[in-house]
Amino acid sequence: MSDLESALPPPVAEALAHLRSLRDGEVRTDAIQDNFVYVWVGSLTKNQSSEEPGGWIRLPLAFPHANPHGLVTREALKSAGEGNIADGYNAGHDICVPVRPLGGGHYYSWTWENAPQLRSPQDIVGVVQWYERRIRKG
Amino acid sequence: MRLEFGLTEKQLGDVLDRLFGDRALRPQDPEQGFLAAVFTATGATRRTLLLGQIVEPKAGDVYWSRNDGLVMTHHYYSRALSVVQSMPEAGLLNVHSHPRPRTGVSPPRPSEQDLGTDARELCFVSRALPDGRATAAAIVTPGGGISLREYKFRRPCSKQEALSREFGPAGAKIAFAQRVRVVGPGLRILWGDPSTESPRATFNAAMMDSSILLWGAAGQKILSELTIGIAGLGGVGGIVAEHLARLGVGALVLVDYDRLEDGNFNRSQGATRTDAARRLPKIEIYKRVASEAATAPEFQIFAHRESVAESAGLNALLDCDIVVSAADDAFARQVLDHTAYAHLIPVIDGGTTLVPDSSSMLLVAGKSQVVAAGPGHGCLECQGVYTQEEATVARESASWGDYINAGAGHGRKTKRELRAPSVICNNGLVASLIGLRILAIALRATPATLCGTQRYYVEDGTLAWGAIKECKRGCLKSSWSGLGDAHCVPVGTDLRWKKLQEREPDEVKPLTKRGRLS
Repeated sequence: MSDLESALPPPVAEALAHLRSLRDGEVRTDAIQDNFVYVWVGSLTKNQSSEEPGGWIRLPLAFPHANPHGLVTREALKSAGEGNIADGYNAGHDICVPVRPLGGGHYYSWTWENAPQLRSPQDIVGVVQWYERRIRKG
Repeated sequence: MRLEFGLTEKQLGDVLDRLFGDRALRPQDPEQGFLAAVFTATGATRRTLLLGQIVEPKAGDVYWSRNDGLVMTHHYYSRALSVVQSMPEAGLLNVHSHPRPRTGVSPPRPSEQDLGTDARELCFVSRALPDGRATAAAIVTPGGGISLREYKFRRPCSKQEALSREFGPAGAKIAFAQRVRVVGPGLRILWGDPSTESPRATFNAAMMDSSILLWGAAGQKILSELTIGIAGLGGVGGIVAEHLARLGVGALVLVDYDRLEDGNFNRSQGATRTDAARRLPKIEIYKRVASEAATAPEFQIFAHRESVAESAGLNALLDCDIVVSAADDAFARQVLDHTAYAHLIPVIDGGTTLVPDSSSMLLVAGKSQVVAAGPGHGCLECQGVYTQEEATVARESASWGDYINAGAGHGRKTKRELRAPSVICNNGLVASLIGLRILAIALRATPATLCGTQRYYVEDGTLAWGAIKECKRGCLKSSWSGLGDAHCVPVGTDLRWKKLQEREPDEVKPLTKRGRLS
């Protein structure tokens, strides 16, 4: 366990352990900044086969009592059709700063509105799936 | 650190039923008993042991013996240990009944036999539990009198120590819980320590005669023994502080990080123009206002320049019997909502929303509302006080403006539109309703007003009760009831407080010798 992960509240640590066992063993915590943890999910799928999978989900330290907010990626996301995803897109936003040394430079400020109510640390798997659906929606 | 014991009204009913009522396993025996999980709730100066899940005794687990008194078998203890070992941070509590006195709530005194047996059994339990878990014994009488004592044993590190007297039952350090809090939907505080007398009532009868006519000396004594926390000293919290001090509440704990400015002076009752010009922290102003207004002779006030959304601010409130949520912030409200259940501290929230039409001077709509949360009440979230998304947004940025600049919620409102209107008259109304709700909870003066959402509708001037009085289906908050420190209350970093600390040096503008601003 990294030093960063040892500082996580128990429900977030439990969520990450659950995500590793059920979805992606390589999930890691890359940064903690102002109530949010940047969780790298390398298996996060995207729209085009030419795109490298993966991105940082901004998970609240109060998860599951607060909602995820935003996605940071290394490259701008391509939409299912033509061009890039424009909704909520912020290139080089300050939110990317904690993971900029790791290549993070594109911020999508997607909030959890109209998404399923989160209740338990196990809901983390649904969070990743929701982000994949959000990417498909564009 | 002083020790207390806490349980819900529902749990107390269940305990009395098991020990004296229909659910007694062997009603012919003079004493009954059971084992239960116990959780610890830690504040700045108070530790409370909270009753957890009762481990159901089976036939033969608990019986009365003429020679040994009440016996709880090793088999029952083993089963109870395996239950509490599976619960994070849970300890073990041994509860038994005393048949006398039949009435009254004076704390029962343990017999010599009780003290010897409990120390022996709990010493064995404490060695089987991880370090730091509580071990305690409680006695209950038919009238609802309760005493609890915590046993602490030294943990041996060698075989020699394990066999020595000071590491065994004889070396136990025993502490009685001073008070017992029975919570939800009302609040009853009982004296819990049979080794000392309950403190005498401390109130000034001449100063309080108009109130004593209403709730008597007994009611005034209850108020004088309460510690009430106020989170947020804006337009509502400041008035509540003065009201509670005048009502004769024994102690107040104030938590706020903001300073008084010209922009909020018009609704800061008790503050002076000099306070605003000096930009004094609100806690200093209301510490002065409440101290000067206090009617309880031994009134105490504790002021903390902190955010309740952070662990330091919350920690101060964990010493309170009731907390008023007047922070007007979804992050703080969510933290207090969790605290109400996990730490068994009733929370009363109040606020006002006004929707103006500045061109016509009409208030298009608006409501002031007061809501109680905690065991026996619906939670603040289910009663519509905040949403999880609002609590997330409040964690996200130092202001709504920052949130919008961060690319989220774009196009919703301009910065000017985000400045909410506020009027001292509405704040005063909310503060009064909060005060009345506290009286309902602490004195049971008006049982019908204990639970639910009370709303004043600005446009037609009516006062009405909301339909929701309990949590919605699927809400988990009541399942956290009494978990204390074992429940992870979602505190964090309050970015508004952080920004304020960074932006301005923590200093007050000085006065000249003549009392004017320099």
